[in-house]
Amino acid sequence: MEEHQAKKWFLKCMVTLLTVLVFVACVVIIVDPYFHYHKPFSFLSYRLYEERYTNDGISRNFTFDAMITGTSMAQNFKPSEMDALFGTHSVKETFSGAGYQELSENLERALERNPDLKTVLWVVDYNGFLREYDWAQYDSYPIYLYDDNPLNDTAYLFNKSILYHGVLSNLKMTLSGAESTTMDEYSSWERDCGLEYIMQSYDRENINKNVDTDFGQKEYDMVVKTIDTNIVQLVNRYPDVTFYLVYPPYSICYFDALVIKGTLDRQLRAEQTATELLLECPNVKLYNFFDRYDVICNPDYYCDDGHYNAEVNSMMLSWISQDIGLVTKENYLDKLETEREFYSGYDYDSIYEDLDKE
Amino acid sequence: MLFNSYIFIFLFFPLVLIGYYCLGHAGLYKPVLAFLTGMSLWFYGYNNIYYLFILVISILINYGLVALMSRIGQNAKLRKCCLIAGLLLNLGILFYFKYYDFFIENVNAVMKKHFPLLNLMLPLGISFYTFQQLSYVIDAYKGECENYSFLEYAAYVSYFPQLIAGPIVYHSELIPQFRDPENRRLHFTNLSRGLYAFALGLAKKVLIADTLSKVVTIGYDNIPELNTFSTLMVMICYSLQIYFDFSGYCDMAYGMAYMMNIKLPVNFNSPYKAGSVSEFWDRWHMTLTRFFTKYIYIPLGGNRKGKARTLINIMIVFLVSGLWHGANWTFILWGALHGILSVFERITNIAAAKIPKWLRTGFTFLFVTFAWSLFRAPSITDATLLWKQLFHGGFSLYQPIRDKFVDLIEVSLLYRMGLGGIMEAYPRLILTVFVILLLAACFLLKNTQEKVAAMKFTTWKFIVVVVLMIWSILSLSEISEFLYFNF
Repeated sequence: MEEHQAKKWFLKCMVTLLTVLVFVACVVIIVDPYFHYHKPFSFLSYRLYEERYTNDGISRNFTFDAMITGTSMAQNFKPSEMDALFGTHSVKETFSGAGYQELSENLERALERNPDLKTVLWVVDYNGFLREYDWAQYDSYPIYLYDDNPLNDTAYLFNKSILYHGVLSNLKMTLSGAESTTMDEYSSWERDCGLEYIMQSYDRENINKNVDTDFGQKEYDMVVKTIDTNIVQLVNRYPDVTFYLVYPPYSICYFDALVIKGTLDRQLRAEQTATELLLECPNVKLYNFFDRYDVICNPDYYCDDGHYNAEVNSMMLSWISQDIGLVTKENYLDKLETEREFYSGYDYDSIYEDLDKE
Repeated sequence: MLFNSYIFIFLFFPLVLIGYYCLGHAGLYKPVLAFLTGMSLWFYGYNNIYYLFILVISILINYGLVALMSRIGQNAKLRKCCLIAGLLLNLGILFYFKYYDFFIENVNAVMKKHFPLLNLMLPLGISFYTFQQLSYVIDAYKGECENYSFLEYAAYVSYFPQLIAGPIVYHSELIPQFRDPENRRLHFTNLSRGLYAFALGLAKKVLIADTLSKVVTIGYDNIPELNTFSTLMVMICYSLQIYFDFSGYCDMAYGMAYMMNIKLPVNFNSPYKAGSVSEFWDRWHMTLTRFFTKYIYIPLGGNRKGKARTLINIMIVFLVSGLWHGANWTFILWGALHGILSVFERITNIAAAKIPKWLRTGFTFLFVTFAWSLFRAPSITDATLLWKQLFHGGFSLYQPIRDKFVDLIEVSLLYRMGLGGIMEAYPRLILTVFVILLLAACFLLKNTQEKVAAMKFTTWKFIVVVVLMIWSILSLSEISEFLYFNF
């Protein structure tokens, strides 16, 4: 009798468990908040957030022929502006705080999956030259979204935080009639800009001179490995794709810190090494805006020593479309020399004079 | 492979059950053992194949030594040689992987030397299967061991429910159960009861212990920032975390074995209900206490050689227990503290004193919680700093802990349900209520074995199992947000 009851009870448990799990999986597959299985449905609204969960799905299932990528330096680009200037149909796949390798691998997966992708705008972090080629800050990647192994998709299909943050919020948006996040809005940010805001995170008084400021063989090899592994090799594998590479214009405070640390020369020599490697790639168009003093020396464009506001992103797109700031084999040494002269001779104390008066 | 993983729940364990009962139903004993061994080896080597070699070599060596002992027959000297070889090999392997670096670090510190460290990865569960095999070799030497086939022995040592976190099962408990053909026939009563125990264990591990670990990790990473209230919360949360983690693991192991008609020994019997530290060790990790009693305490003379010797023996057992738990002075000190309290209880015969049970239980819990800090802290300095922070003053909840807690999906749902106002007004409320409920569960609820034994196949139990299983499965993986404050 008990055995019979137990059999009924056990089978009831199994059938219910299976039914609920299948139902949950179906809901996740249909809503697919990270676009792992299909492109967005027109009848659903989508909240685009969490770049490291969303970007691979954009690569897999969106229709596009151009991509904007990079770190927070690229988050405020508006694909709509790029499309208007370049005649493309672009998406944005940025990764906050990423290293070169992370960006390169994402781009490679996108290029493999989408043969229509012919234009890439890649903001190459200027402070990343002298990092190991595999430098990264994050190790909790949702690998199940990146690989093509359907077995580990269980972590996507049966995941309460994806149900809550992804499925539920998309359904809520849909029901309330809210529009999907646009590509322009996706991962963009707005912060207060100006010298007083820069100074909240820029502690000039406590920057010390580096013990080691040389650019020797070790540093040279590091730049070569970092640039070659993550950019040059990738670019060479896709000769029919045009890569617009951009060194982002950090604020004058960034250069102030380099001067205090004594690493300005090292940074410029790293830039030269990277530039020479990139200029060897025929499908690379390299842009450098370090001579845009109107932007760099105007703290009102910056919220900290590196990050500029969306206005600068728009300006950069416009300059690139007009080939302003284009670096060539013919002009790169002159550009570097101008940079060296300007940033080593700049009166940095003058930046903070107004602040002192206040 | 972990019990609380998708592959285990969706693929591995269903395959084990299907294979076990299909082969068992056909009356194939050896294939059942071979199948169980094969599956256990897959389970063990899933994350690191290198672990597998160590386990297999260890099984081969121990089985070989015992086989040699039985061939030698009555030659006492040679048998003793085999025993010593077995002890040295097992303890040698354990020392090499677990204690060598700790030993060298101390030698380097004392002698101001720079002997290189091995930096080896500790094979999962090595402390457990080494002890199991030690018991096998010692019992064989004493003639307290039946003859087992190699397959039986391999299936016993590698049996996955107990392989990586216990219980420490004796050969005489498990192999006879493998041999009983009735245990290879499908019994829905056991299958259902086992499922119930597994669901309870999975929920304890995934929903409770893993949630508490978020609070604990933030606390231990930021000890100097904690005030009195936050330190207290972190200490109690760790006490609860380790309780539900281990209890959950034991329940899952017990439940899975039960589903195969195998009864594993009880390893966890509501330990926070204990009225003394000695009683705590009769309830916490019971099979380890049993092992130490049988193979260390009694051979040392137990309580047969006078009071002083008894107390020394108790201290030795606790020091060894501390070292067994981890290669760090923190664990040794933790063991020593438990030893000192046990010795104190023995001297004062506190069990006979007329102290109310609730008071003794409360004191035991406080002591155990206090000592757990040594278990969790990376160094004795960190543990003492944590204790110092208890007297720091301040009764607010450390903001990052609060933020982490508020970030939980379940708490977010409470916000959506309109409780946000209360939670904003009383920021400590949710965590405090959570902790009080868990403490009440530790002190008042029956343990899993009692629940399983008394289980009726009711709709309520059906709801409990389905809800806990679904909730736990959906909690196995979470979005890990990338917090990059400076972009």
